[in-house]
Amino acid sequence: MISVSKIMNTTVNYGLKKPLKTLAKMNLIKKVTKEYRGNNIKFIAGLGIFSIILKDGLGCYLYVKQSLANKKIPEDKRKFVAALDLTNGGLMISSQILAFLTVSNEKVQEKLFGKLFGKTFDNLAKKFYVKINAVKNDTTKMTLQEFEECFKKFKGGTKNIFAFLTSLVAATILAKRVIVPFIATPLADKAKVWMDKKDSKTDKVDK
Amino acid sequence: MNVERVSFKGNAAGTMSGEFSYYAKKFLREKKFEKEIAAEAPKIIQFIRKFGVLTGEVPNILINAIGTGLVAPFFIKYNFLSKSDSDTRTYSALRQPVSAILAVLMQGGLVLPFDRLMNNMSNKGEWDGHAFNKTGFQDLKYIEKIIKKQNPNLTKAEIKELAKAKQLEQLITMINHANNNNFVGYILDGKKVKLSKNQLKALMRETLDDLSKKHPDIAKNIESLKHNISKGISIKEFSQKIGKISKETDFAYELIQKHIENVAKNIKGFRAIVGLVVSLSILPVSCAALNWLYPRFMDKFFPSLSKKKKDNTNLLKNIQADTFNGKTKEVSQ
Repeated sequence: MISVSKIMNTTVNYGLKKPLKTLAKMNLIKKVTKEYRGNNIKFIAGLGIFSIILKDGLGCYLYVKQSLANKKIPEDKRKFVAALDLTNGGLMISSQILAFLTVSNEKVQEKLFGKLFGKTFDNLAKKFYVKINAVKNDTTKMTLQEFEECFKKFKGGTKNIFAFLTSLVAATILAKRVIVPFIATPLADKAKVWMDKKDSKTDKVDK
Repeated sequence: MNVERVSFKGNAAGTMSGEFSYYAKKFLREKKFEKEIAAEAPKIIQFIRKFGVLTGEVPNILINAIGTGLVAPFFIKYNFLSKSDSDTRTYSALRQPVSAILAVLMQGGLVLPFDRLMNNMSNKGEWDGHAFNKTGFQDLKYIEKIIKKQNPNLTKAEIKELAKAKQLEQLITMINHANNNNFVGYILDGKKVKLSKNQLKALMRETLDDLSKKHPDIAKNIESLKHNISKGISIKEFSQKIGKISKETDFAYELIQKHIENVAKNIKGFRAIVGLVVSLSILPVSCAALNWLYPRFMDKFFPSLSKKKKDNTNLLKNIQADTFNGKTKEVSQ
């Protein structure tokens, strides 16, 4: 008799592991991993934003499709509602790209990180310099060279995490959830006026 | 699972004494000092660094959910530019947290098992080639899991200590392979998995670049050694050359550290793409689930709002208001 675990293993092997192994050999993965190895923060943050944009794009498409098929909306208005969904989706995507181009910019990040944490890291370094200079000839303690190596790694790592986080927050919280709703409102009003005018013209022709 | 995969075997055992203690000390010192610096850092820095653990698609899902679930409702409810009534705005606002919870549960619920599966494949050495394989230097948690399985009577502290020792042995085995056999990789079930000649040369270049950044005072001397790479000089010979420039710098040690770092970064990048594919494929399901769940949720917990919404004769106005206020839609029932 075939055991359940055997079936599970075969399913995981053929259903998940094999496709993953095939994906691992693709050029796209080679390109992405190369950028990750090179610590290309712009690319890494960009991929994060791209991922959200793709999901928003697909979400927008699904909403538009739903609107066009939603029988609760009067037939003559469905296109209008769908158009509004499209505007909203477009605004979300463009605002996130804008946020990525500004906040994720290397120079902006450098300034932002320096302003927010420059002194904090300077003070941290000073603290250790004092400690290291106070304790000499103790082989169990950190040497100046060891400290500098570890500190660079520590600061660089923090900077990368900060860049990734701020890029995501700017795009997905600030741009998408704060700015877009405000821009979308007056735009939607204009779209409504345009649609009303179009509808009234059609009514006159019908009469 | 095969415990041999975390055992210390091969020719490295014979070279344990002198080199083992040297590399072990170096590695443990680095880890200790990294912890010392992190412990002295202000809380805000420690908080930011906690997010470094989150890799791949998971942070995208989480931050997006925070925006949708916590920020968006506020700006929908109190959007002074909106012409829709307060109840309609509340109705739309409440949809956001439901949408965020569904996204975390459905997208996160699928992405996390994928992450775990991929990580296991890396530790077991199931990928073809070396790029995603951690077999040479496995994760502490994975080693702990195997030790626990093989020795169920050991205490947690004992398992942790043993796992650290095993991981250290793995590192030193890799360094010894590099120094003695000019080999970067690992041996799994008798099969050698190693970097090709060109990949090894690229790794040597990357290691030198890192060393130049670490030691700007001797960067020029390090750079001048680069031409030796194309000549096909061995790792051991390179170590000797670097040793003449800087006594504290061990090239083989730095090279293996760089290789381990590269594998970790490869996995990060790969997971980001897999997470994206998985999230995209679940999106139509989560959209449909939201459309099904939300009216029922409102009927159950906010019947007054739900009724008003249904009774509203000006349907278009409501739909418009919903749409103005973010990615919300009139829900079909």
